[in-house]
Amino acid sequence: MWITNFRFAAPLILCLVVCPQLIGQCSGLSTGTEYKVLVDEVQYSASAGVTPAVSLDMLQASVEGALEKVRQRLVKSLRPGGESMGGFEYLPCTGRHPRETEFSDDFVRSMVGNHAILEFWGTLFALDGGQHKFDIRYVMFPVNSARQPRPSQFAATQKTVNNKPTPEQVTKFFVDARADLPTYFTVSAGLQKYADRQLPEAVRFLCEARTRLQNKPDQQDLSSYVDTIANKAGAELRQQTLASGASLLSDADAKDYCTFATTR
Amino acid sequence: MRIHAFKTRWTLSGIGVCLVMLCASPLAHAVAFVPCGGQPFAFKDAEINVVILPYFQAGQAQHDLNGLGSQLALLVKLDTLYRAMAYDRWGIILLTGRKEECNPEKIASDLIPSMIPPGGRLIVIWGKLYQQDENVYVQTFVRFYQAPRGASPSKEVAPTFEVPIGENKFEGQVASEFSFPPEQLPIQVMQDIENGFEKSVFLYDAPDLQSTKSRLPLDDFRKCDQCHDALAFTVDGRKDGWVRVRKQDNKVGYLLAQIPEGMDLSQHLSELLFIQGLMGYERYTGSTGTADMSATEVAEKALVDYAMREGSEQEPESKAGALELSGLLRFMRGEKDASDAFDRAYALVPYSSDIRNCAALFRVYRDYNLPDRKIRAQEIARDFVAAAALDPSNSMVLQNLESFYDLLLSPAVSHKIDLASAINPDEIHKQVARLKLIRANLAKQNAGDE
Repeated sequence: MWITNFRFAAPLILCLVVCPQLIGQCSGLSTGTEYKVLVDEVQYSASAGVTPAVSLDMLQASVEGALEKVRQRLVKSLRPGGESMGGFEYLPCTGRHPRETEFSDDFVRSMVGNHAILEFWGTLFALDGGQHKFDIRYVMFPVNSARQPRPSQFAATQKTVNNKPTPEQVTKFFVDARADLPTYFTVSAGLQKYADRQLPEAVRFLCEARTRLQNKPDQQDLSSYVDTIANKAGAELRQQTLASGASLLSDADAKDYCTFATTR
Repeated sequence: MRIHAFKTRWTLSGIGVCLVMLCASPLAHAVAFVPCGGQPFAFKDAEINVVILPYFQAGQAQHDLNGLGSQLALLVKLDTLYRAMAYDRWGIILLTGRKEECNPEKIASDLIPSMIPPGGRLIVIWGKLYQQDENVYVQTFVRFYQAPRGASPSKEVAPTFEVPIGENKFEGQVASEFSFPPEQLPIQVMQDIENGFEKSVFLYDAPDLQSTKSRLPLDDFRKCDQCHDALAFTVDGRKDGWVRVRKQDNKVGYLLAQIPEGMDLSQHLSELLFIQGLMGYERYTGSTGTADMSATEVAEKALVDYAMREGSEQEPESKAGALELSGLLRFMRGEKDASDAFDRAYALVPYSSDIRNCAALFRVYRDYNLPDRKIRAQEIARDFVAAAALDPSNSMVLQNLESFYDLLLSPAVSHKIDLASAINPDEIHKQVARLKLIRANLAKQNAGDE
């Protein structure tokens, strides 16, 4: 592959240093300018030491359902022979099932440099006493650029069940995954759009993310951060003389941009 | 029979005959069975085509669920066509095939340029299955398309609508993609589906399970990679769970569309109600003349029933979509106040610029048209500005806001404005001037992007 633009070459070189294995696992990571969502594998916990009595399929199915829901929203136009996801793409990462400790600042920066915005994977933990924990873990790469004290870039959808999950527990886990993936996707997409100065898209994603996060009391620090960036994006949009609908807001309305935009 | 009043002629030109191809005219409904990997097939003369793909297994389930997925798709199709008998000029197509061939976007992108006429409408339905112990979980997805009228056949057309208010036309847009809450099908329902499939997979000579019957060759389609053929019927009536179809030789046959043992699939798959409503809306929106009253009432009821179903709140965007479509059907029937439906939709999805735009414009429509209402100018302008804040490049919202200011400046409307909420005319003129500049700048940006 010929690299003709240093802007794209630099993150690739950084990634070759800090994440060489990842390039092999996630084909397409180092190419293209679309925003990438890394879809890792669903696995049993390697360290649990207890034989699980539940298959991985429930995790896999919940991930697939959530991915399809987000993909549906993104598909904006038809192309002969396929679809366009409006500047986003999913990258399946074969064999990849990371731990949170692997996400050093250098690693995350290289991911952002390669336009990766979100990564997630699933784990089924077989616990003592016949319990099982279903866990989908998300990493929102653009959160890493926040100033300290910064909100966690990690989030999870979890469910612990006795023995086998009941139908209600299965359905609830599906529903939770289908609510959480769009939440963390919009957080990541909005923050990255802001970083890339695509301000109209940034406020759109960030106001949605902020509304979705209101249902998560344990993530108010992330919600506040999203709000802060949305306000910045709104303020910068308004400085661009009569370039978008954001210019119509009064100073008072724009102070708390997403509150104005999402309440009546 | 009312359907004979239509002069639609179903033509299935270009479709070879290798299995069975049945066609009749002049009729208003049609149904077909087609392989995914074959030549794109839809009913060219239909106002709306509904394509149903098999439900495929998610994950790596121990049991092969894809057989169940095809069975479920057939029952979804039969239920949909039974419900669709309140409408006219539609076609329903069941696709069969392997997962890799039955990609919904590929199917749509193949169909729209070749088989869907300009302005024609297409609904694609697909889903995923997952089995846990003795239960199967179903996740359904629906997407709506409209074929473009212009010269860009690969570009999807946004499903927009117009609302005339005074001298102005306001524009709105509803979502075109819908995800439905995961539904659990207990073992008993699975058995009912299997039993239902065993009865539904035949073409009967009479509306009687004991009558002579011939099996629909769905398995042959699944195995047929290169088969470019379709199995098609025209539909000319329904009664007691049976749908009467007509073959090409004009002989009549019957499909069992609802299982007689009392199994109502929509009790387990609420999305069937949504699909019924969506199909009715898409069939009659944009129709010239007054929409068919009874048909739009059927569609509206289905959408309201869906929105009232327990669990629909798990997918707020789809519930909001059902409410919006029900409001639009009321508007199409001439109702002046459908704003409650849009207000409820907005409450569910407050981050949607398009939904807030609709909520605003239907308040204007109500207040303008009802004698006992006054236009609350400041609140409505704030709605449009907030919608523009949510999506700052949304030219439709900006156009609506400009139209709203124009309306406020019209002398004929001055008596309709609530004085407590009025906006100073100087302020309106300033805002209009800003809007014109913003819209001109956005138009330049968009032209540059293209």
